[in-house]
Amino acid sequence: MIWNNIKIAFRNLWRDKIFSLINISGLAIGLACCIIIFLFVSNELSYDKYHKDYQQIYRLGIEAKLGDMEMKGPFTSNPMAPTLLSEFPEVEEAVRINRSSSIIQNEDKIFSENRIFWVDSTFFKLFSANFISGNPAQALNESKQMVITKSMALKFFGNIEAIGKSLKVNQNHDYTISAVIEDCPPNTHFQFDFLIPYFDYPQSRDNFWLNDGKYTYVKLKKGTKQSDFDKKLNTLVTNYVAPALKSALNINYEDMVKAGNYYRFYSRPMSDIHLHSHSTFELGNNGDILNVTLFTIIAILILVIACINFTNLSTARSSKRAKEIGVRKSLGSSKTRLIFQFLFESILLSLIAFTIAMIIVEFVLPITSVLIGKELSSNYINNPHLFFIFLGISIATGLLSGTYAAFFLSSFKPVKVLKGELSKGKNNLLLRKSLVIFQFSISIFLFIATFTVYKQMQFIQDKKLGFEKENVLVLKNADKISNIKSFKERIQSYPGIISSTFASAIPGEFLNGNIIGRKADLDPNQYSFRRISADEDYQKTLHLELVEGRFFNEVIASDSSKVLINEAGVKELGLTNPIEEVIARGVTRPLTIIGVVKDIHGDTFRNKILPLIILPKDSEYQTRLAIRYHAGNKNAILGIIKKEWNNYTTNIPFEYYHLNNLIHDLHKKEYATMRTFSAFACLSILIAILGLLGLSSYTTEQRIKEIGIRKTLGSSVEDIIKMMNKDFLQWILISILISSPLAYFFMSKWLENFAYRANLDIWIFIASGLLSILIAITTISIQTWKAANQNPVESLRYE
Amino acid sequence: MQFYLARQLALEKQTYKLKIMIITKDLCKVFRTEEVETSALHDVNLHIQRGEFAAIMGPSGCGKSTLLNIIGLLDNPSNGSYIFNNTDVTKKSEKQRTHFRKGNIGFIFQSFNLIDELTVFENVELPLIYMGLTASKRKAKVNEVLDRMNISHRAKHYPQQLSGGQQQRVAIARAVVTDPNLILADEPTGNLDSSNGTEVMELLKELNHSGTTVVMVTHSVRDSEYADRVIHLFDGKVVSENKHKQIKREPIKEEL
Repeated sequence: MIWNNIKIAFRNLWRDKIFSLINISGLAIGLACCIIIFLFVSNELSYDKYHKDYQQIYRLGIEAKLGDMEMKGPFTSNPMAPTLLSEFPEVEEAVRINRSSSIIQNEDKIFSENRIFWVDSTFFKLFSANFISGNPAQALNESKQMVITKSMALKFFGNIEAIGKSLKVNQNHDYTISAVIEDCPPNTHFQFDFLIPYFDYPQSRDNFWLNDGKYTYVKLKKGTKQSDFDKKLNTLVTNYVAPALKSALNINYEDMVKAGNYYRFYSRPMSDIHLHSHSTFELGNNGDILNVTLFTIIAILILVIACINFTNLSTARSSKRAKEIGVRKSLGSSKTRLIFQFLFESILLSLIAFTIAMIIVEFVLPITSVLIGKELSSNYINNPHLFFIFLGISIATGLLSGTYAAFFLSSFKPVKVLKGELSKGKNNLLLRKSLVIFQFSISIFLFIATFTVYKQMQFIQDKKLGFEKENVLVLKNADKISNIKSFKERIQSYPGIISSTFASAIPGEFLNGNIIGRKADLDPNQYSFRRISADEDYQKTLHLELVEGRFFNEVIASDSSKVLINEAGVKELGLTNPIEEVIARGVTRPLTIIGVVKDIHGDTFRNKILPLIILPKDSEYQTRLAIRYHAGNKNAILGIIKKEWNNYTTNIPFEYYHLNNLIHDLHKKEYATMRTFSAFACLSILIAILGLLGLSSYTTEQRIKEIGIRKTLGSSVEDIIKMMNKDFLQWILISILISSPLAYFFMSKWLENFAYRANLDIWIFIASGLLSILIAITTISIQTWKAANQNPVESLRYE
Repeated sequence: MQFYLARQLALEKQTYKLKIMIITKDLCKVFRTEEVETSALHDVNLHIQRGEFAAIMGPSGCGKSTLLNIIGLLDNPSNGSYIFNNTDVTKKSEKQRTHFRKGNIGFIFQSFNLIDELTVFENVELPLIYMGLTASKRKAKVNEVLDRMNISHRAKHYPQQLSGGQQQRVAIARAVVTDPNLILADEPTGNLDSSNGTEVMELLKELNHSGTTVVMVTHSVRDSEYADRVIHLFDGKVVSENKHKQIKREPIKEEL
């Protein structure tokens, strides 16, 4: 019996080659998309779950509002961890972490590294790591100890036998390697290369509660409720933060709260950080739960579309198989047996599709990995459960989509079927109609979504950054140049180089230094500004746009107490005539505003541009030298600069980057997400088109006799095509009505993630509607053309 | 026969041209599937005059319906020629054939071929829509013909709510609503009981008397008695052409 089923199944596949092709490819593409999305989603959801006690680990943060200034971030101050350990019995362990970047050297191997962290010795009690050598309990107990990863050991020592050897940090501190561990897995929010003891951190004994900027992680005892802990955590505000506010800033906490302000601590489960935390102070590049949701929805939609297609195509083909069913029934086949046969066929089909899907996945995965900027692997051997999940999904798809066809087909009355009368009822029409509307609603929704995403991408690309990112080379470690002024003059004497500037930061790497700026003495409010210090060539080199006033001038000595701010800063301070206004840094240093620069986009477009203050040179530690050169001779320029670098420094790695790459990296993830989304959306639209092809062939099949009659009565081919399109067009219009508001709702939500965003224009909706109508008309007309051109005799032959 | 026809044509060209509606010359029809070639019609020569009521008879598979389809411009012959209303329509395209058919030929089928989704009124109205008549003219025409067919009380019903006889009356109404010159009926009583069958045949006779040419394919001797002339087909060939009276005299049992 099974053999007979298999034989019939394959003969049917072969006989209707086009049908089989559409059906299998639709399902295969659908499954492949699903598998890839599944891999992506499960990867995103796996973040930080490899830590042994991840469910008990939380990161602490501050949420505060002081006047106009609101802040929320995962940073706390030094005394937090020790206080928790001594006062909170439910806190099992606590660890402080502070990021650093330094030049690391082993003999001639010199690199500047930025994944160095000062951590408490309890670090490994919270974070799991695989030790290659060394003891987790003693690795960070003593001063000048250092834990490094395997790849750093290889980089600096050439092998992993690094224990006991030492590395020079910033040219003067020798750290002894106490342990070598495996590299951090990619699915963690916190990647590090070097760990050094927290008490070596110069300000580690600073006990001021308002000096935040450090990361505190706690491990709570099993059974501790997060909400209870959070409540208790905030007793620290009144106990410690309030007195600090009083003593340092003369602010009464109670008055402050009464004025509508607040200062709160919060905790966030570590496994939530990757997808739910979007602070600018994150330790790594976090993902977004919205993307995960979006992609999951797409995966489900794709699967549903593929299922609908399968069902439609199978029922469309049913009339061709009606005779077989009639004969089988009259020869004594039971309904159950027929249902079994059809289910068997559809599962067989879905398994073929599954096999093809796996092949597609293998080919497409490397491309996807580039597209979404993260390595995904379909390692079925290591993850046999993955394979079985997908296999299960495929069989379920086959079962699900085969069910309707199976019951529909097997319920044919043999006598009627043999006489050529197919049962067709109004129920069928209703089902078909709902399926079309459903599919079209999905497609139109995806069109709108894709257009919106595309528009946002365009918007980001076209947005004026407030500076010119092309043809700028940035040197790191520029503070190590022995005479910066002479170095600048020296390189600027080369014809290819236009200008250079020595600064603490360039756009794209602004740090969130929380300067407390103050508008003269009149305004007691404090404002958070990002700050950079730069020499007088900063504006010229980076092409910053001045809104008013002037930039620093070398010959004006008094410029050392002058500053520039950006437009956001003017707004923040509420100034109408910013020039010559005096603001203060801290309490002591009055600074006069001499100019206002246009807002600079040095961050992703998700975040609002923060107030920025440009301080005169040497107000901050300056490490960057940005060099603008004439386009075209990049390599020659690089050679010149490198040569001069070696003349002006000793044993300092020549490290540089191009400003446009830095900016591109900032937006890389956004682009990746958008591209991936568009790709999947296009694929699901493709599957929907395949489905439409199936549907219209179904409809044509169903109405073939009607077409014959109409033609006999004098209808032209055009009339027939018009008639067949009319129904579908009505359904598309309904779909547009259904999907537009939904798409509007979801896409505005998505756009709200961006502080700077494109508008959800009406043309997006019009274009999506028109496009789907166009696709439908084309598909249906192609299908109908054949039927309408057929000799009417052919369609009336069942007699 | 051919010679006779040719001479007849030559001699009576002028008058004949006016009198004759359908001329087929050496008409052949071959159906091909991938491997099999079936010859459905073989050198069929016919002439049917205006106002004539002709019946085509023959056993199953002898090519009756194929011949009717070609006469009705639903199908093209594989070989030979076909002159309809003095125009050679042998090699006309589907589009041109549709144009000729429109309003000139009405069809009546054994299985009625009404569109299930349309009401009686809409079914009858359909050919008028394709002719491009205005809605008011269509309404008048349809109501008139429904009255004539005694079915106007069923105008708003769907085909499946009617009896077989009623359905066939609707089909006839649809066939005659355009006042065609030619009505082609393919076993019009095949799905009906005898009283309904008689009713249908009476209707066809009436139409014929009012001047419409009728060509009918039938199995039934009783039905064929309504015709002026009976053409016998066997294996795709015309085996005899008899005036009605002659048939009556001859035993026809072996043909059925």
